[in-house]
Amino acid sequence: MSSIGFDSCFFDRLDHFSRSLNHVLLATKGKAALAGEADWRQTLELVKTLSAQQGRSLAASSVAACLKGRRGVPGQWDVVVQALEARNLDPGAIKTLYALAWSLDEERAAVLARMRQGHA
Amino acid sequence: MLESYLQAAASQLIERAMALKGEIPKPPKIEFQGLANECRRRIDEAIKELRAIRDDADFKDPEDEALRLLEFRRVAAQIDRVENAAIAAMARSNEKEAAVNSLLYRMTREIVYPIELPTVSLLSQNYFYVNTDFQLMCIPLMELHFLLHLPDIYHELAHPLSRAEDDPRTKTWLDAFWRAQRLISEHFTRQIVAVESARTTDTIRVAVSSAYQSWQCRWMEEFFCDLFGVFCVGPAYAWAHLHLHAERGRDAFQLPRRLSNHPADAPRMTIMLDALTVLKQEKSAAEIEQRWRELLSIAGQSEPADFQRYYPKRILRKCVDEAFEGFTGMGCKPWPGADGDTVRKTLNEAWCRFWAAPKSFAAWEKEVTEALIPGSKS
Repeated sequence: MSSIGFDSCFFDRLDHFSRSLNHVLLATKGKAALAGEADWRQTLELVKTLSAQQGRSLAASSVAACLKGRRGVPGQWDVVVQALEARNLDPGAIKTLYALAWSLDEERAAVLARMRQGHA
Repeated sequence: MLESYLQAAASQLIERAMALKGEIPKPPKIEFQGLANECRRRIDEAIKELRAIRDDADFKDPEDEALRLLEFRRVAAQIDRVENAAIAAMARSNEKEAAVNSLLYRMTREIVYPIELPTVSLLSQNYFYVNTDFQLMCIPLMELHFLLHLPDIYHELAHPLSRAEDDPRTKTWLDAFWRAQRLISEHFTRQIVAVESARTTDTIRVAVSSAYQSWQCRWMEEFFCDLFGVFCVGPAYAWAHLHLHAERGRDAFQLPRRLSNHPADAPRMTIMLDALTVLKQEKSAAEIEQRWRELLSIAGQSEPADFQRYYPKRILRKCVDEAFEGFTGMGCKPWPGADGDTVRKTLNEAWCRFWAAPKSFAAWEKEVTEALIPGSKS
């Protein structure tokens, strides 16, 4: 209920998706061993939620909502969903996922800073 | 540049992480045993990852620099959390933590809390919150000497439920959450169409958009945590909300202007009062509502004309019904609970005494707190 209350829960979610997405991106660079099944699944879950395909994950839903405004052009996520499902990411999908990785990183840095200062 | 930077910075962070292990109390107190193990596991993992980022040939392709930096930042943030959230809590702990963890155990037994308990620390400098990444609930140092804010612990107990997805123990609660979220989405879809198709000011458009984003991102979860609190401890939870608002609340009808963590205090009270009627506590609800209205009147706060655009009362009421179904579906025991319950009954008795005999309340509270939380004085 405190002013930092939600951030202390939210960091966990951002980190969860950030880690998986980074691992998926590493896999696209030939380091497939670094991305486990869970990393692909969690990244797909977030991207599906971003593409408004009504994901059923509370964590993905709240993270996607906080990224609103940084979501890019409408429809771009549908292509990435297909690419992730096929585990075959073309340069366009990789570029979109890099932008997403930086957005998650930025949001996490902001949350950490707010928690250090003790307010949101 | 990055190669040189990481050679030094990653090495330094590895040193820091190793030194952090030395800060884990030896031996950890029993209530922090699980947290200590989790810290050690995370530190080991972070060190392994930092070594890979610094040394592995896989990371040294110049084309992968952005990813290498992203990973470094992620692991650095992890170490920051271990240091500032978890190890700080253990390193600064005292004998009173055993007392407050024992209290939490009794609270959760009374309500039949469905998942593993968080650990409680008295580290908070900012009211109550829970770090879900470490299952660590933080409350202010002096709070266990007093009773009136303790109902907020039930709110914090609800946050980890949202983390327990794909878990049969929380399924009915999360299903209820989604049903409520759908109702809100439908409402805001209609609102957005309405403001786009009418002559509406940019201020209202931004407010509708911000409110919808806040509902999706945070507010529904906060409302559900409030409802969990009321279902657990009944009127004491709504009284604690009034108390918090009186002490440090902002405008109870604050309009949304940007993404925000918490909904305004007035609609939070609205759902609490509705929840009390679901618990058949109409008399208490009426008494709390009267005091709440008086408080708002003294502060000169009143509901703006278009407030329900952002907090639709009819839908809030449906959220209460959904949440109650989810709560009982998890097997949790709503207020007024069983005869043997002592914690939640004491927290409610405290509020009855507070209003009935304000002058003698402090002495009564001191005596009762020491009996309810043995060891809190040491």
